[in-house]
Amino acid sequence: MSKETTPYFQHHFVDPEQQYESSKLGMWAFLVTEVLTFAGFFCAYAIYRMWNPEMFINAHKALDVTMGATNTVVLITSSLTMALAIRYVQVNKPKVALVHLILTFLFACTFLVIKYFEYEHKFHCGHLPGALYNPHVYPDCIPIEGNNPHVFFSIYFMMTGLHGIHVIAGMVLILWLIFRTHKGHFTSAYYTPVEMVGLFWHLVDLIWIYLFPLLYLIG
Amino acid sequence: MSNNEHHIHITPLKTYLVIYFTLLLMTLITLISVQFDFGSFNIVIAMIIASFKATLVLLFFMHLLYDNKINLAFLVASVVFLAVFIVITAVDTNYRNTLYDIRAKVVEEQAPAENFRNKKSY
Repeated sequence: MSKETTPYFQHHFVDPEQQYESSKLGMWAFLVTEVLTFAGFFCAYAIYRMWNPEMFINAHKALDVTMGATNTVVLITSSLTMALAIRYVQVNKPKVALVHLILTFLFACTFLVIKYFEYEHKFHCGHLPGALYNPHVYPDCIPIEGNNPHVFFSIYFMMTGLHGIHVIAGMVLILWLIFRTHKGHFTSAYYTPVEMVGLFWHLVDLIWIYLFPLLYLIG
Repeated sequence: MSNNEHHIHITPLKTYLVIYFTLLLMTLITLISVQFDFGSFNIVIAMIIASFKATLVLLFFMHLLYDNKINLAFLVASVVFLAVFIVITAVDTNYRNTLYDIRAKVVEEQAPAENFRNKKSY
């Protein structure tokens, strides 16, 4: 990997490795801000759950554990295919990497489709955030007892909604990677964007790893 | 600086697959553990398992195990501040009623709008 054979090497870095390390540090700084963004929601969750422990247990029964668990498996699998895509571009097999990027994209689509069906059922039952909370007495909607159940759904929709926006952002980035990998831009000498989008995608998975037990599996 | 290739650690395929199946197994264990009632320990168990899964993802999928340790330092700092944020807010909200008479109350479903309109200053 010399300076001459690396078209993406920029003159203000000592060498391609330093350029790669700098990008990665920048990406981690961004991921820190992402963790702190979600920290606000985790904090709100913790405080409101301490204030309304009974209501949280009652309200979480309105969530579909099967769909949540399926989505957990889908996201973990997409994390694996993303990690493998990076590995294949590292060992200079961009065609195999392309297949894994497409798989990752399809798993992301699956996640959003399942999320759509979950949201659709919440809208059907009127289990909506804040002032929109208007529970219907349909046979497929469970009644929720306890104080302030709308608070649970505010937190549920804000947390899963912001996470969903991150999934969509990740999908756009993966599409961009698919386009560039198809064009043959990435080799073992230069694959910084693949690694960075990979880091972002794993963070999206990480947040879901915490969201799933906190929202769907309350004791 | 001459042989940059040797600085990038390429994780073996087997490691990725082992981590993947461990993550799936941990998800299954989480699902089974909530079937039992350990009282307030349920959340503790769920969070320990989730943190174990998160650690695996961070170390292997996100390559922190082989990376420059400054990246790990950044992440640890964010987690420390996450903990500070939640702990201090929890202490405040749980103990402020020892100073002031403020407690969590039921939000009135149909509180008259006038209650809010005339309170411009606090």
